[in-house]
Amino acid sequence: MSAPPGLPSPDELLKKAEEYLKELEKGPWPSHVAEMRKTGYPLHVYGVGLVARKSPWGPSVVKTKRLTGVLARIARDWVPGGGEEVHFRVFNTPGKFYPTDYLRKLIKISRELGIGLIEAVGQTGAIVINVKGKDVADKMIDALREIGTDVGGSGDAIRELNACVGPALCEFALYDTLHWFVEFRKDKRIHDAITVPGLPYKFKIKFSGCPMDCARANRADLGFIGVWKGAPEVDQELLRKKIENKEVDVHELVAGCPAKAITWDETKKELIIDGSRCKKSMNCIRKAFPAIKPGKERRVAVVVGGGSKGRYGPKLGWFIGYLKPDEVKKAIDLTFKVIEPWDKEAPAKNRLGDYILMEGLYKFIEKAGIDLEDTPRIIEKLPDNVPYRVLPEEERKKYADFAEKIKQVVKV
Amino acid sequence: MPAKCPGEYTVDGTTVVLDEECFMQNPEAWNEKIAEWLARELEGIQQMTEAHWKVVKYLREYWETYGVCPPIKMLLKETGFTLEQIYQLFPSGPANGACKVAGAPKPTGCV
Repeated sequence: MSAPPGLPSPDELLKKAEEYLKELEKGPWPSHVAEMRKTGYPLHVYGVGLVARKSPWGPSVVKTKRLTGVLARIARDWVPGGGEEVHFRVFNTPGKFYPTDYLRKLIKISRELGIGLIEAVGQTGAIVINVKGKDVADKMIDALREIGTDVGGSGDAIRELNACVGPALCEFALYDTLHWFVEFRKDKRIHDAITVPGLPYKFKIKFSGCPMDCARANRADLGFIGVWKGAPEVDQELLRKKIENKEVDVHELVAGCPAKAITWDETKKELIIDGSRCKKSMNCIRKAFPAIKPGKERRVAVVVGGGSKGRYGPKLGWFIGYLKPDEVKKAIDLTFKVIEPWDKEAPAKNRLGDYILMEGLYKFIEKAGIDLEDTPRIIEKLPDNVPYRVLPEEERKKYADFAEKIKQVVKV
Repeated sequence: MPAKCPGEYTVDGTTVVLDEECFMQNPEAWNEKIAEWLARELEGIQQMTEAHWKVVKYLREYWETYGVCPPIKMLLKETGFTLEQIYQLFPSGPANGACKVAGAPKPTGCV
């Protein structure tokens, strides 16, 4: 890319870049520039980018054993001094829990073969580690594989998996997200799909323990969300105590329900929740937790086709059925069932959600051969050659009354 | 004796020019004899099997049609091999191994 117009001479440019960087180090708050000076990051390129008001980075390639997870950038030719930056996307731990010895090993590798810069909890979900140069890239991959992790998850492949903290820290978790994460990670087919770019576009798999959806599973291509069937459990005794202690405002509870499924019986002092109308918003459970709990009949809801990028813009996932909390193997098989028709038919750069929009959800379910508990199906219609429809008794009466009313108004 | 890169060699009466990464500089001179020689000298493949030929011929055909090496996913889909099998056939991988034997210049994309 050509240089932006009106750029000063190279010496002046570098001087000005340093000025800009100095400015970012001022102040009592933490500074990213001051921290990055401790590492080997090519800061002058960043500074030149700030002065030029244009990205100083261009694309580059590295030859390694891995086909995904290796990203490289090279400074544009108008950046004085030049510069290069190579980084890896490394598999993260489930729920992002780091044992200290594992972190120490990671830091040691980063200092020996990298420039000492690690991004552990970032936007991609993977650990991002910067490498010193192109020639030590293969060595770094070997070192990372030795401590029990691997490089992968960029380009048109399954991306880094994401799970919420689950039962390890959270009382709301309805299934073991961390166990599901580990089972998915251990599976060879999933590992191959992460390390080989063989799909039309990115594919994300996420695990959320409860409908509050901390892992953003509703916006994943394949999301697993813990839910229950029917109404939440209510411990009336405890709830009454909570209301007496003014911990819970019962009228706020009733008004806050988005499905209007909660009613409060004033005489009996009882809270009644209509399970068939419950939308699993977790509103009542969050406000009065030990008194109102998720129901006993637990399931994992599967949603497909979400995502913020793609041909037709951002979408939320479609629900395609329930799994039981111990059916991890079935979930892994389901992943490839979902991928198969999309991989075969969708054009490049179309997310799974775009494909479903084009095909229609029912047709997609039929093509993928998905058969889970409560999978949505087409409701049988009357055939086209029947030109009339017989109304049910109740509806017929309603229309008759309506006609009667009109007759009175118009006075026929 | 393995061939040294860069260098110029004569195989079966045809000149083969290799660049510093052992890719062919004159890809239009490629033929099956040269492919066998490249595989033997650079990849250590003593005998080209039918599976080797399937991959190499697909790559060659694609390169002749479009002028670039195919993305890895096209290669896997069209030949029906898994990536593991490709690595077993060409130990240094689809880009460094298979494309080299197919006589295509150095791939710039993501193969």
